[in-house]
Amino acid sequence: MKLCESELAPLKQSKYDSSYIHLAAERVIFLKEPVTKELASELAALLLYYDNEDQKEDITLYIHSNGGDADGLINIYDVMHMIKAPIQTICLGKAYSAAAVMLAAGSKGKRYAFKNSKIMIHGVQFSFPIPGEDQINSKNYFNFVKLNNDNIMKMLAADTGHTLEKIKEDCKRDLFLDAKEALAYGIIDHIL
Amino acid sequence: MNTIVIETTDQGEVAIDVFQKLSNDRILFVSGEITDDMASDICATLLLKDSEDSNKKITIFINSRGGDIRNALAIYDMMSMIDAPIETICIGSAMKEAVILLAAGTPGMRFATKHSVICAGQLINSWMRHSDLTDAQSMLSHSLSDNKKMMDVIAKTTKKPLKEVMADFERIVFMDSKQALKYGFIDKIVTFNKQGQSK
Repeated sequence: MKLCESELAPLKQSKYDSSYIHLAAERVIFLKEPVTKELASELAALLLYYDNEDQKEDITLYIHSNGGDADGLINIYDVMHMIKAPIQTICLGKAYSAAAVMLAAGSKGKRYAFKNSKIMIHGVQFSFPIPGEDQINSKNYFNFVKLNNDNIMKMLAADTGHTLEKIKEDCKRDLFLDAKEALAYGIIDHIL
Repeated sequence: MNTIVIETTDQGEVAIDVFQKLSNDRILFVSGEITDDMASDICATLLLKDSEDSNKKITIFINSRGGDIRNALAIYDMMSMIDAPIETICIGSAMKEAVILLAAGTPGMRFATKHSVICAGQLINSWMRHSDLTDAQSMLSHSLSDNKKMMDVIAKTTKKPLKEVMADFERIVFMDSKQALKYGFIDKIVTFNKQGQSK
């Protein structure tokens, strides 16, 4: 993986802060925070900017995240699919929950994970029921979250090539995978 | 507050709690939140008084804004289980879960004072936990069935179809005693004479 080596090089030689600036020039994005709504907007803006710059060259997305907000994930996911530039996703350390879906959403054949990285997929987690709400509101809220969850399961099914039923069944509990298992599961295409 | 009263008995004067004394005379109080302790106290006293004399009426005064539905249904079940007639009197308020206790009195023996407030509505969630869809689904169906149980009791005691009750109390509804009488939660608005006897 020549490209990755060259991208990692600035990390070694420069100070922590400026390394990201060097990386930004090479169309590299580091996702190291939880996926929040704010981060989703920033990430979407970056992707759109790089796509606008050059639609042929790869955008590289390094992922080292615990996951986060389902709404944020859907926001990023849609932008990742909208732009024309190919997106390399690389799991660095860990990609849990929402971050794993983003990892799987990279361009086909360009999804990587480091050898010792960990990947976890599961269904939407949320606080339920909401105190102070009555039962009809509870039911409506549950249905809304379920719809959201189904959307995310569909994304995973499309990206991994598994059936929706299998994904739903597997995601009922936290499913932890190492790089090899993730490769077999279809979340990534290569191990670095 | 000091609720100890002095009672003269054959053995002389003894100090006795006023609620204890009333409960000796088959008068119980459901006041405040319906807690686990209160529910077991009420259930135990109901059982005792029923075993003492199952033909004599037991009176329950209700002034409560509700509480745990489990406890309310426990008291309701005990009330329907025992043979003694049960007179329920709402003083102050009978809200949400407490309303089923008021309505569950023996037909014809359910009263409310003139200024009491009766309120019914869906169960309100009071807690939350971090969960996934599977857990949430089972919690939801559990609380929906609790809600239905409560509505069932209201439907049964007010002699209205469940569907109508569900629709009427989809939102919280506050009623004064007149409206509660009209709906069928109570049979009579009670006024008290100076001796404390209901008429």
